[in-house]
This record gives sequence, C-alpha cells and structure tokens, in this order.
Amino acid sequence: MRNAGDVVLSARRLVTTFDTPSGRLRAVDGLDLHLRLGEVVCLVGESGSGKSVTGLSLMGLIDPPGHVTCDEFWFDGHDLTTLPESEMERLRGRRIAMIFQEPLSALNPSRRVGDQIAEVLRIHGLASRAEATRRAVELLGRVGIDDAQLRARSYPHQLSGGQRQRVTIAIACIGSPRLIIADEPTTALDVTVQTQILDLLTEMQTSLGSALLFITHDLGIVAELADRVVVLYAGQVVEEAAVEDLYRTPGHPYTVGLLASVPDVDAPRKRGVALAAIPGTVPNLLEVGTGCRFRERCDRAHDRCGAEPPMITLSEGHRVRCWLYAGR
Amino acid sequence: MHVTAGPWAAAVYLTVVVILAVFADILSPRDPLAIDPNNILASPSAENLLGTDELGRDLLARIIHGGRVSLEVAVSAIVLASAIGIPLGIGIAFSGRRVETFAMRVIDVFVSLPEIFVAIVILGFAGGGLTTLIGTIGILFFPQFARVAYGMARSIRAREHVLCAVSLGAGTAWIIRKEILPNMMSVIAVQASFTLSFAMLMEAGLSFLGLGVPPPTPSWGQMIGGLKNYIFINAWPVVVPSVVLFAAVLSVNVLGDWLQDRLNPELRR
Amino acid sequence: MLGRPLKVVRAVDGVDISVRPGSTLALVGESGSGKSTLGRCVARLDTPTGGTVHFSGKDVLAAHGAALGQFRREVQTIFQDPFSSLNPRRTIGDAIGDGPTIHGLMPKDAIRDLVQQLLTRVGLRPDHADRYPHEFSGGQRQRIAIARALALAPKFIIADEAVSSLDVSIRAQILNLLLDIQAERGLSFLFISHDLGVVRHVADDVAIMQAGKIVERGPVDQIFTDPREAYTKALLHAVPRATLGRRHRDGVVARTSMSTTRPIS
Repeated sequence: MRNAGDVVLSARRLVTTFDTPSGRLRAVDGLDLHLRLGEVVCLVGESGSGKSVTGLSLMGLIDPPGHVTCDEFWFDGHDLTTLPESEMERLRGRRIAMIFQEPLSALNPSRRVGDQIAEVLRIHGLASRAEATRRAVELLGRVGIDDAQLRARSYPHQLSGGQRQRVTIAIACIGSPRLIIADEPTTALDVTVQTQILDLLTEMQTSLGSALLFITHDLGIVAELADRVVVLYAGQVVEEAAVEDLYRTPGHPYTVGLLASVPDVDAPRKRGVALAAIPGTVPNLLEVGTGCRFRERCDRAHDRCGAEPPMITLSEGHRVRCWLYAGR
Repeated sequence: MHVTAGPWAAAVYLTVVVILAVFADILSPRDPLAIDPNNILASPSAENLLGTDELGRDLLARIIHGGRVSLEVAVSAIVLASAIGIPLGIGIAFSGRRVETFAMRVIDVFVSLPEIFVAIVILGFAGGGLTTLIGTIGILFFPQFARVAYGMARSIRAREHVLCAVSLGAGTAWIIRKEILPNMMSVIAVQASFTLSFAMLMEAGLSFLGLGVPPPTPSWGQMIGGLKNYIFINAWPVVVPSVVLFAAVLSVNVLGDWLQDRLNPELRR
Repeated sequence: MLGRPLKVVRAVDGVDISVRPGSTLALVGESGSGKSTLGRCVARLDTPTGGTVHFSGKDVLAAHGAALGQFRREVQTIFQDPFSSLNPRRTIGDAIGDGPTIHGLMPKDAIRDLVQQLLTRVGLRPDHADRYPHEFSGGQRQRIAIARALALAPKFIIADEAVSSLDVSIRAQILNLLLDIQAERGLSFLFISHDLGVVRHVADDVAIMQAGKIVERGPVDQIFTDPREAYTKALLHAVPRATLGRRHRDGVVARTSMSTTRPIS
C-alpha cells in the first residue's frame, strides 16, 4: 500500500435530502468521508444507494428541491459549510473536478473539442488566447488522442465514446485538481476501451498527486483500482475498508452478498448450482424506518436489527455498520 | 399537483364561456337579434349591461350567442382536423419508405400554405356559412395533426415494447390500437389545445372579413368586424367582443401550456 | 428529391450460427459488433438481405400466415431495457396476457389464470396483474418481461442483453430464474451479452462477434480457458476481476501492453 498523503477532503455527517410530492427523501444519510492526496477511494453501491448524489453533493451541484447539510466539510483548507457560492465556483472545476458517465452530455455538441479545452484554459487564466489553442492540442495528445492536431477540430459526435471520455478527462485535469470525482466514467464504454480509460485516469491522478473518488457499481473495477472502498446501501455507508481487507474479510452481509453475486469469469460453470444472489430489492427510501436498512434481505438478520446498527471498527480503517460485530 | 393562478383563471374563464355558449338560449338576458333604433352604440347601462351595437342589439346577448358560434366552429374544426390528420399520420408512419417520403412532402406543402389566404379563396368560391367554415378550417389544420401523429407513431414504433408485441405475433392493427395510440394521446391533446386557439382566431378573422357566418347570426369576429366602423362614435362596443375573444384565446393557450408541462415528462421538473 | 439512396452498412456479414435444442448459445461482442442485429434477424424482427434462418427444420424468413404465427409462438425475445420494453399505459396483466390474446388461444378467464400462475412463477404476486409498469423496479420489470415471453410456452428464447441494465445483486436473481426455467421447460436460449462473467455462467457454447463477423466459436470452457483468436484473448484480458489477483494500481506496467492495442476502440 502506498503512503497516504494529507487529508484533502473531510466531510462529517453529510445529509442530502430531496423534497418530493410524497415526502422528504434522504438520498444520502449521514455520510462520513475522508480523502487523502494520492489515494483512490471507490464509492460502491447499486442504484438508489446514493452514490451519485454523494458525488454531486461534494461538488456543490445539488439544486432545489435537493438540499445538502453537513456538520463539517473541509476541502483543501477551506471550510465549505461557510464558503460563499462565488468562492465555491472558483474551486469547482479547478481544485475539484468531476467526470461523468456520459461524456457526450458533458461536452458542448456544437463546438469543436479543441475550442472547448482552450476556453477552459482561458477561464482559469492558464493560457492567453493565442497560446490556448496550442495548449489544447498538447493536452489532447497527453490524454492519448492520436492526431491531436486534427482531432482538436472535431465536434464531440465525431469522436468515439472512449475519445470523448479522454477529452473530458483532459478538461478535468486542466486546473491541476486536488480531487477528481469520477462518476461511473466507464460504464457506457466497451470493456477493452474501459481498460484504457482506467489506465489514463490513474495515470493522470498519480502525476497530479490528487485524490480520486471513483463512483462505481462494478466490483471488478474496485478490485483493480481502489486503495480504499466505501460501500453504500440505501443512502448509508455500511462498510469502509482498505481494498485488501474488503475483499479478503468482508464484514457486512451486504458486501459479502454483493461479492458473491459477481459471476466469476475464471471459474467454470457449475451446472445445477444457482448463482449466489441477494433476495429482495433495495428499500424505498421514502419508507425506511429505523433499524438496519438491509435487514429485509439479510440472511443473518436478528431481532436487534430493528434498532439502528452501530458503526463498529473491526481493525484499523475497517468499519462496519452491523449488529453482528457488536459486543465483541 | 400545484396549479398556479394563471391556469386556474383560464379554466374558470373558459368554463363560464362554455356554459354561457351551451345554454345561450336560457341564459341570454335578451334576444340577440332584437333591434332597437332608439338605442344604438350605447355604453353599458342597467338596461344593456354591456351596451348595444349599431342596430341597438344587446351586446351581452350577442356575445353569449356569438361565443356559441365561435366555439362550435373552432371545436368542430379541430375534431374534423384530428379525425383526418391522426389516422393519416399513423397510416403514413406504417407505410413503406417511398410512400412515407412522398406523403410527408405533400403534408409539408400543406403546412406551409398561407392559411388565411387559402381560406379566403375556398370561402370566396364556396360561400360562407357554418358548415363551409368548419370544413375549411378543419382542412387547413389537419396536416398539423398528421405531422404530429406521424412523428409520434414513428418514435413510439421504435420502442422495445412495440418490438415485443411484434415478436408476440401482434398485427399492425393491434399495435396501432394497443401500443401506439394510448401513448400518443397526451401529445395530441396538447396539439389540439394549441390548434383550438388558432381555429378561434381563424374563425374570428374570416367572420371579420365577412366570409364567416352570415348575419344576423352573431359571432365574435363578425361583431368586431361590424363594430370597428363606429370606433370613433363610441369605442366601447368594439372593445367588448375584442376583449372577450382575446381572453378566450389567451386562456386556451395558457391551459395548453399547462397541459404540455404536465403531460411531457421531459419538461416536468 | 424523393428517396435518397440508403447507405448500406453490413451490420452482420456472412455469419453462421446454430443453437442445439435445450442448450444456450451466447453471442458475445462489443457495441457495434452486430450481435443485436443478428438476434433480431433470428427473431425475424429485422430481415437480412441474404442468408437463411431455420427453426425446427422450417425456413423462418419465408414463413408467412399460419407458419409465421407458429414461429411467433415458439420464439420469444427478452429485451435489454425493462423500462421501454413494457407499454407504460397498459397493466402488466394485459401485457403478459397479450400473447395468448393475440393468438386467440384461450378464453379470458383462462388467460387471467395463466397470468397469475406466471406472475407467481417469476417471483411476483398474482395481484400485481392490475398494476402499471412504473410501479415496479428494473428487476421486477425484467421478471414481468420473462413472464410475458413464457405466456406462449415458447421453445426458443432470445435474451438480448436481458440482464445488462440490472444491479449486481438483482442480476444474479434474474439469471437464476432464467436458468431454472430453462431446465424446467427444456428451452433453447440465444443469449446476447457483452458481459463475459455472465456468459461463462449461463452458456453451453459461445460465439464471439466483432464488426459483423464471428471471429471465434466453441464450447464455453474452451473459449474461456483456451481462446485461439487475439480478439477473444484481448476481451477476456480486459474484464476487471472482482478479486485481488490482478491489482491495477500495482500493475499499470503489466497492462500497458493492453492500452496500446488501440485498433479495438
């Protein structure tokens, strides 16, 4: 494991709610998150777990009817709970950058990609008008786009999905961000292209020395990429661990079930043996009461699971929200 | 569902207009055709609540009866336009590629015709009257319905639930009835509400020009057309039908907008 | 002005596949490989410009009338997107009963009974029949799609990325359901997927497609343990494993050889 650097982001009790016609929905419910420079943290969860909302909340991109509160929220020496929106705008895109799943919607369809990169360079005051175009081509080359000179003159729809994601990575890295938040950046891509984009992302992150918060549902990517893993279920962190601990000794029954549900490419098919699956479905966030949110689907559920489970530290950096480990 | 004041006001206004129009014979305070030579172009009074026109006829009575004509023409024309346009549009969407391209070009030509000019030509030859007016406006507006129905049918047809039905063995008639039509009705409703306001204006315009319902039967446009000549004697009588018409068209548009926001999931916040 | 000539793209080109009764053939490929187009040709939802499709010894492309009706009853497709594969304006009971209704196979009461049986079989409740699709989650909708396909008691099911949009834990449930039903009813499957983990778990035979052509085919274990073609090897290599065996962060160098195989993108 590499040496962890300084804490760049620290959030305590992050809560993001949405007011819907049928009531207040707590999409993220009391999330603690600490990210260090040079570290890759994977935020894992299925749909409805709140993983994407977490990313947007950290970016300050939640609009009404959504609402974010946080007991403590420090980023790179700034207290974001008191920071005015104008200051936040300066941080966003520069010190914190975000990469989305669908690069086509993150890019302006009617402008050449070179011009889009050049514009970001100028906004951040990193290049003069004359210089910006040349720098844009240089950046395209750096993110592995062949014929950068020619490609800079392309419109987004003329590029392949992988190339488009390379462009958004180039744009994200312009301001030398201290933190990159990537929300399922490879989900829309083919598996062979995915590998290239993951390589590029980690390469950029390593050279910038920034923290990478990688949001995904793919446990394969997590195994290959993460230093630390945060598992979300129904808006709450259910487990947090170094990647080795999580895969060797998963604590939460949900994590255990999730890991078992992934069909193994390298193991032959066992005929007549069912694939391990977690029964049931994710609870409706408008209907969760107190107690463990996974208990309906859990094969180890117990009476006490009706009460809010405590977050228990199993070993250094390995925390689990489950009654199974209480009183050990 | 939260409804703001605008749509509410529009709905109330239109409801009143519709009720007055439908029950005009009972609710109208006076005979809209009764002439009173001693009381022409009068401003409102206890006798004539909205004043009188150039022949001394009660304006309130004429507005109520005129609303009946205006609504009858506009609504019938829309029914006619959708009855021709929707089946045509769906039919084109399900025809072959060649027919499709050709038919849509023809429809485009129709849509781009200057409506009022065509209406004048048709009515000039065929003469005014309720039926010809409805027929003319209906024919002018059916291409728009055909276009919307065509576009919707094509996009719905590409959805997987339609492919599913095909793979279950469903025929074209089944697919149109069960899969296509129910999914396009909301868009058609929005289209109809916008076209309705155009049809009301068109009726008013044609009647204004003397090509609509023949006198003495009142319609709003015809009243405006007649009373405009006396605007310098007394402006009041011409203002009354103008404001009533303006408010009706505005209300239909406001409700159409509201309906569009409500029915279109992409515009729903 | 009318009828510009269409640009002809060969989405599928000279492909040859066959599925043995009661077995599963997995068709694997990346986006644009033509695997879905091939699936639709087999289901006769698209018509190929050439070639033949035979089902139970009969020529599918030439079938019409009663023969086509028979084919539609025996071959069903389950699509990828459980949100667009159900008509939002109709109840799921109606949707599941569509097949028997269209073919006029049984009276209304019998269809109603069948729908309830099928709902139970796919793990839903009989009273769900009166609800609309938006009341269900993605996994539940895929169960509904399966029930719908089963209503005509087909012999052959084409599953076009049928589990790709589902969450990991739900995906396993749906795969188990499909495999159980296959065993129960002796169905043949054409399983179209880009997910090699899933394919390894469900397939008997595998065909790898690239740019409209099949580059390799064989029994599942042979393809996964002893692939012959470079493309198959590259695909297998690129799958992220949910184990710590091959750490990316420690092994960037080991994998850079992969990222230089550009032509694939």
